[in-house]
Amino acid sequence: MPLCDAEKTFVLHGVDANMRIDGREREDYRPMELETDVVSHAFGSARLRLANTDVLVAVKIEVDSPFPEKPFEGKLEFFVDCSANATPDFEGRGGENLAVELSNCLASAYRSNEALDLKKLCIMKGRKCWKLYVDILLLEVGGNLFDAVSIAVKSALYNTQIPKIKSIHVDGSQIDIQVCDDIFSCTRLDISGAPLMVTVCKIGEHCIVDPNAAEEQCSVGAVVVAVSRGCLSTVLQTGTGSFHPKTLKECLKLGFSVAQNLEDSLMETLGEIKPNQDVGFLK
Amino acid sequence: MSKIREYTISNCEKNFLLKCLKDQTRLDGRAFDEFRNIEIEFGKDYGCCCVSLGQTRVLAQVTCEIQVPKSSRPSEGILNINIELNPIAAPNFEPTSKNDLFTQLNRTLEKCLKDSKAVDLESLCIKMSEKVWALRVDVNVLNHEGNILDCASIAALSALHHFRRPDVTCDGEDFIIHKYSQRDPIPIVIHHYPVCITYSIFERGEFILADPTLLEEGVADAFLTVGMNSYKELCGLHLGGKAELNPDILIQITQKAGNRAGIVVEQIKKAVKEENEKRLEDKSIGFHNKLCSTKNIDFEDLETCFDQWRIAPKRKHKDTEKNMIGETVEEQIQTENFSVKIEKKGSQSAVLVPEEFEEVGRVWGDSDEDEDAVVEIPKKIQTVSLLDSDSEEESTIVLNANSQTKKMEEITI
Amino acid sequence: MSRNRELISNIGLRLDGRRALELRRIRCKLGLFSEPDGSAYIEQGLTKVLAAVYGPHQVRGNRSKAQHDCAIVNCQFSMAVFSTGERKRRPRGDRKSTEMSIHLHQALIAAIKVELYPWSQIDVYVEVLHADGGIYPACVNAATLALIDAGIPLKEYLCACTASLASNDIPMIDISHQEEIMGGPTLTVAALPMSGKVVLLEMSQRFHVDHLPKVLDKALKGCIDIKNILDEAVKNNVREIGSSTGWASST
Repeated sequence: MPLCDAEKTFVLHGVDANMRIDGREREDYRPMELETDVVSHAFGSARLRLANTDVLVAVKIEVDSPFPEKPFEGKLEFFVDCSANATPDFEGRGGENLAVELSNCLASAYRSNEALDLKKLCIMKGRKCWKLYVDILLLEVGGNLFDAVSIAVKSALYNTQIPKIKSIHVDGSQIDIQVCDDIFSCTRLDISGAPLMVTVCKIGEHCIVDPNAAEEQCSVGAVVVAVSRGCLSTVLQTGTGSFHPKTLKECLKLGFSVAQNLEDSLMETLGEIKPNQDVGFLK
Repeated sequence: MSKIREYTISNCEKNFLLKCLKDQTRLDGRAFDEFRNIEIEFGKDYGCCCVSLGQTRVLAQVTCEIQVPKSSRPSEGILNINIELNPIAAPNFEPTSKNDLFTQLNRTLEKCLKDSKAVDLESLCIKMSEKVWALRVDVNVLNHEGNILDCASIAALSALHHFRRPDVTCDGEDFIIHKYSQRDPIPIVIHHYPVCITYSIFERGEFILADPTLLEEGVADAFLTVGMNSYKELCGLHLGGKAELNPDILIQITQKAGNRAGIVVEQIKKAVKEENEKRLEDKSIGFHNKLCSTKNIDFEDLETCFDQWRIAPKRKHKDTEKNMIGETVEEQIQTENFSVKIEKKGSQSAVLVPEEFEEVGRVWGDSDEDEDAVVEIPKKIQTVSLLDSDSEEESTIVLNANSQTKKMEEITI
Repeated sequence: MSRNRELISNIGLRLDGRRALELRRIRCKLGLFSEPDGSAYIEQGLTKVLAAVYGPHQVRGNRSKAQHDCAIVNCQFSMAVFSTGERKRRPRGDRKSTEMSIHLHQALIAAIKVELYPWSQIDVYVEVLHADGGIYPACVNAATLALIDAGIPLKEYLCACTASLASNDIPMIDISHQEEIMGGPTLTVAALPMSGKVVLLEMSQRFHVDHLPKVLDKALKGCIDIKNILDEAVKNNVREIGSSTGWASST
């Protein structure tokens, strides 16, 4: 919904006074609800509700052959689907631009070896490896998509169970892979390095974190900072505005510190999740 | 994206049709339960078939190639059915857009033929998980005059029944595909023959028409397509349009369809059998046989034909002043000698030569209208008479440029 | 092809332990999201479907599509890539999804009172999160709930149900995915249960025409049962919302 000038001015003043329109401070996040193991067909899944933003992520696994230049590594592929439930503009192929932007950002954030160790996904050097398909479904868009998506992806990867391999028979060109019969014996991924993205918006003179839909319209530009293991993984600038180098530095610092806090609370929450408590959408 | 033009029906056409239905008549005179005639013709290749249902014409072609089978069904062949709505068929069909009708037709035909397992796919397997035959049925709509689906299903079935695939032999590791001339090709195994039968429904089930024409389709509220085989098994059902029907009506329609399905399947089988016999006897096969329904024209017949044409108007004016002409003509009718002769000129042309033209010319001399230009008629005249048999207008005889006098003559009759 | 497992065992139980004429467990919720005008979520067994309704609003895009005497209904059916056992490449745009959208549109047109909103458009978007048989009925039921949540007037409830025939000529309703792929015929019916009118009828595979009346009859009964369940869910929802604003105290 487009804002009129008076509303934009109101938002601007709020940010200046460190009291945003919903009462938050500049560095506060909106309340989040996280649930894992929502999709039963998938090997791992998570659903994140960040106030109005609703994201559903599912991880599926297939056996594939690795890239020839990286014989020891598995593969990771992101696919973002903007559902028309979120807004009628996403009907048909309307949401493709946004989808492509998100998936490229995720791909570049997870590119480094520190983020996710793809070597763990190798089954047989040069011949077979696991390929992870991370599918993201945007059900509702209420501002701050990058953050929500990155948190949901991290949780889904945390929740992913990769079947343990019992034996491999090699018969000329035929490779026969046997997995363990016990469905509960599986390996988990180490996601301590998975990056979390923080969107820092500049409104007026100050930078804010976690903008809602109204604030996103008021900002001239935003910087998305992906942080993993205390280092910057990727930095993306969105919007049409330009940043002064000093402002950019401030934004990066702010994003960095917020990301650390976010990571700590997320890992704590994930540790607290008990299995078989899924309520899904019914609550 | 271009707008899909819809076939618009005017309100008068709609009201007229509904009024006729209330009087229990259809626009083309059929009964409510009557179907149009089906004609099945085959082409030179195996698997090429053209079916017309009334004015609706559809061409189907079956081709095969070797492919890797689907991983979920490694010992089964592949069957693809595709209907193309060519712009030639109707003014509102566009080559690139895939509108609702296109999707619906394709899906219904697929469900009827593929999902009901009419074709035995396991017999198409050459080597499990590696090589299977992939059959492809392409149906092209040539003219849309209502009820494409029925026509397409008959065409697809006839083409599949008529088609023969090459024989394959295994030589250890290699596979040899034999040419048609080397080894006889093998027909496809078809378990049962499901045909689609469509009914149009008007006024919430008050009027149910079988085999609707284009106009009836456009005016109808809803339509029901029943896919049935000769054993009265339902192979597909589709109720579309703005329907709000009692279930009893639907059951009633399916009962009616049962009778029809048997007749159609018999016709298909008979047509294919006749075609196969023709091939065995080495008679000429192909579409051109049906298109030229007449044999080579005999010249005598052509003479007769032209002469009837020329004589006819004169008969009307027996009582006119030109009695001489009339009498002459009557005499001519009575006698066996016709007054025209046809000379062959070259391989594909003939010329009409009136033999007793001079006699007629003399008669003209006696007429009242002396102002008519009199033609000096050379012995051999190459003329073409342009008599319009029904009109009483003055007709003209156009003289050939080669003749010495080039005057237009008017014969008043 | 021989099937070792029967669709109905000797003691009359199906693969998932249901009896022949039992529906799967249905759980639903209205009003999940704030952005759409109406939204609903339904679970039929393991099949999970989300529906969102926007409208009635001005015709978007091509203004010439607008009708002078009724609203146009725009449907989109989409399946999440992770909804099926094997990962789907594209969520929508293929032939099956287009066909589902067309069928959904056909069913909804019969139920919505479109003559009340000339020059307008109603958008209905359906997203399948988990596919386990009976996708079309779940979509229709979810769309009905979402329309009720959006406050769009309907002639009556629109429900859909699938039915099939086991090999020993026993009709079954509410077919799961396992039963579908085992090769039994499937009859999908969308109907207005209170008036008993059939709005959409689809069939695949084959069975003898003499069985059609009884299978159709059972499917319509299934629709009536579903309607009762949906009705209760709607009443609960209204009660919940109403009690928070104090309606219950006035009755």
